[in-house]
Amino acid sequence: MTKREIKQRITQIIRNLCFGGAARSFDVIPRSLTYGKLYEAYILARILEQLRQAEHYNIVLVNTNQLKLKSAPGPINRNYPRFDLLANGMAVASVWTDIEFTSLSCFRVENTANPSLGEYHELDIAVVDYGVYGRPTPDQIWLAAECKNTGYNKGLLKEILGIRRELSFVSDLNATRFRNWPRAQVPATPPSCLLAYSTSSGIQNYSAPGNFFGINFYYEPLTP
Amino acid sequence: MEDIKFSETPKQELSYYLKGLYTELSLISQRQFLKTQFILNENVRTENGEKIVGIKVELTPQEKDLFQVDEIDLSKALIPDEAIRGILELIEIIQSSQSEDPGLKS
Repeated sequence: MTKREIKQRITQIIRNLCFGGAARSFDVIPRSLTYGKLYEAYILARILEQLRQAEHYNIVLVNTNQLKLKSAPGPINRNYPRFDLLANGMAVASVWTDIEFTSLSCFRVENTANPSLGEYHELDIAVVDYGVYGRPTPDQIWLAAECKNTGYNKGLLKEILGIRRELSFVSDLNATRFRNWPRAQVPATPPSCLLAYSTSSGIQNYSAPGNFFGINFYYEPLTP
Repeated sequence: MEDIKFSETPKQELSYYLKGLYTELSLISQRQFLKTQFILNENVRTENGEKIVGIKVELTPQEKDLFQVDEIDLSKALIPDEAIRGILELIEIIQSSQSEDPGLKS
């Protein structure tokens, strides 16, 4: 193959990527949204895999046969698709994406009926008691996960520390709702598990506070 | 992408670059979508026993108005595999070339 032919092939490949890539109707949608949601779907699949294989739950997708994510968070709407976790044939918890939870500070002052903007926060993925709707309170949350398809930095660390603050008090070790994965005990009350995922290996540089506060940091890159 | 390592010959260098490009683009391709869907179907069943057939993103009313679509079908919004398959084919051609300096012969 000549130099000219190689150049032509590379030009054609780039042209295909730029103009023949994703369907035209999606051209205007920010790639950060599309790729961020792809990562969220991938982490959701990984979490469900662990809940099935390490915790032995049977998992059922309810209300649909398509996984539906949301571009913006909101309270739990039970008409939306969700995953139910079944133990001995009984649904014990549900897995939701892009939901809001009632903050610990709001829950403690018993203002859950009419929270202000600062009294509820977003979770990318959450496992909550079965049958819960609206914004779950911290004692109803088994597991919460944040997914970052970006480099990791101190701002994101502070964000996850803030979520930990509004989910639980620091405490002696308490049993979680899980036997093995992601952890059997956590130094938090209520004892929710909190997981932070990133495609950046840099997340490991910020993981030390997780030992004290009970946060699991995972470097989980997309792999071809 | 990993740091670029300079190779000894143009052939190695071009192959290395193209492999890096292929790897990075694979991460946002339909292949990644299919991998995610496969993991879901290995571990989850639907109420009617059928497989999970798609992954979609529901947009807010403002986004629907702005982008003129109701939802994003991830299977269509990612880079099609055929668009990056050409990179693999080119790598194979370069690596099977006898010359260590592909493309410089004319």
